[in-house]
Amino acid sequence: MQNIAILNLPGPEFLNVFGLVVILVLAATYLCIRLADRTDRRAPPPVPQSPDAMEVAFLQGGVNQVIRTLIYDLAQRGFVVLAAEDHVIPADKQPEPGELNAMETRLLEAVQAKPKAHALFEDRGLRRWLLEQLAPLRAKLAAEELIKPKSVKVWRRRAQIGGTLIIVGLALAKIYVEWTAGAVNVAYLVFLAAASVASLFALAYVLTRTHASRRGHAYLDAMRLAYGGRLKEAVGHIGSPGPEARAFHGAALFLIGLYGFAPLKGTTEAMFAEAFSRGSGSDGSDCGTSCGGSCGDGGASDGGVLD
Amino acid sequence: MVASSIDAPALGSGLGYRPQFRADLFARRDDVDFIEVIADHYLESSKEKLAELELLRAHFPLVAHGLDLSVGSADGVDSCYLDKIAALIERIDPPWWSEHLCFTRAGGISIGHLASLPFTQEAIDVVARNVEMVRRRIKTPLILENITCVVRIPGGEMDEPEFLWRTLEATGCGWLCDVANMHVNVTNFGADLERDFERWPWDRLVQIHYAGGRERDGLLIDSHDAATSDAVWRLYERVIARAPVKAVILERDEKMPPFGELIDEVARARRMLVENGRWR
Repeated sequence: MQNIAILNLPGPEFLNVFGLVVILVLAATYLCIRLADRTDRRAPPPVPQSPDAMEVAFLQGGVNQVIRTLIYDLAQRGFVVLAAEDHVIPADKQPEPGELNAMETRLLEAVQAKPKAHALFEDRGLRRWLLEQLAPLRAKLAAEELIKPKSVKVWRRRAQIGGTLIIVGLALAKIYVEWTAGAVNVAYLVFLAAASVASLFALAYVLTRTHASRRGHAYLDAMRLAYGGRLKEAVGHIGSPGPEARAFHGAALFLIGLYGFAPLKGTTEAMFAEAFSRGSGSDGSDCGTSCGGSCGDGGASDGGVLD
Repeated sequence: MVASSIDAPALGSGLGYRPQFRADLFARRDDVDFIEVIADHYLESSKEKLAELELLRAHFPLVAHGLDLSVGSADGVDSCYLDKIAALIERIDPPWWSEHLCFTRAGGISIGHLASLPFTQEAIDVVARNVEMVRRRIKTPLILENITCVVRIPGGEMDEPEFLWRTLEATGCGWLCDVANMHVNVTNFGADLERDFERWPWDRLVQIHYAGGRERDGLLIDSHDAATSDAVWRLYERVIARAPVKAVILERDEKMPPFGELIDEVARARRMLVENGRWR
């Protein structure tokens, strides 16, 4: 190993080479993951005339967004209220038989224990049950290449493992050479290697954290462009007297799935944005950090995309 | 080039696109056969406007309607403007595009208004020369629309039907017949439509515009701010019974009603097309 020229470079020069290798590894990781999702070769499907709220919510932000949308709908319809300290509690109003569908009924059951908003996201049993209910929807979205293909996960793992081996291997080899030469000043290299691996995993996470494929994102963008005007109109109705106060009721509910609670900020319903922001680490406007590492598969696991 | 030589399928009953009803339009996409975009709104567009155009193109058959080509300007058409129109037409690839038979610029100054041409042979020659220049740049067929006149330019050598007929002959363009404009001019200038109806260039008809307007000080104004009047509907029906037409467009710019009312008008226009065998 002592005969390998790179490993015998003086410290600063080796660090330059090491930095270059890290950059190449990050670039290769980006390309691997990016090229694993080539669903944008096809144009997105036409924007639906009556978007399905659950489909939009699931595509936009996995199970977390579905939970948000269902809770908001139940609140609009008077079955659930937000209480102090972000607790979601059942209201006095009881649904008529058949008034709620299975998922709404399950959510209403889940709030009987008056959980905090974030507890709904963390309820594994609820998540698993919702995912089972959403399985046909997920299959439909997958068939249309709107959610990330499995190859993204495969290539992410390959890139993470390969990149880590290269970075750590190069660092260890240099450390070995230095130690055998009697030098012990390798702390900075250890730090740099650790930071590089962390950057590698962060990059892989950022590139795969959303649920939608590139085609799916184009589809959601088209929907936002087509129906963005409805959002402003609906937000304007919040707080108005009469039935219009249920601004996102019925056909407009998909807007909550599409935009999350962020548009509610500054309205009389801002408490949704606040409670679920405190609960999930984001304003719920997108999948992003709101679902931690759990949304890649729509929230089936905590391990990340498509587990 | 006669109307039937425009090698494009009929487009049906459509709507002049305005961004304020975009969401409603997408929610009722099946009720609109095609849309017409104002070309000038997309000539120097932001990324968002271009995305809007792409979205529209992905969901509807499109035709483009220009406002400021000034095909009747004696000093020729603005080549810079023409380049922008050409780029837009290339981008959306419509079966045809339309402009107004008028001038909007003179001596390099934009007058911000569709101004009537004098009904003279000299004006026809100017239009023919300008259209030839446009055609060298844009291969997509251009059709010309009759406009409303507030005043007739003195020195006219012919009436409007003859001027239009001769201009279309000289240019080889198809005709975008704005039946509301036709009704306004006939009414305001006291023309005899019954007598002159057959003198309009029906064999060049490609597309129809219809719209509602209002009356002020005894004059009809093509203001696009009301529902289409019964008189315009009667004329519309007479026109489509008389001549084959590939497409009809409702124009509405002001005092937007609930979108359903626009759709009702589009549906009525379609029903008449179907009854007259012009649409499936």
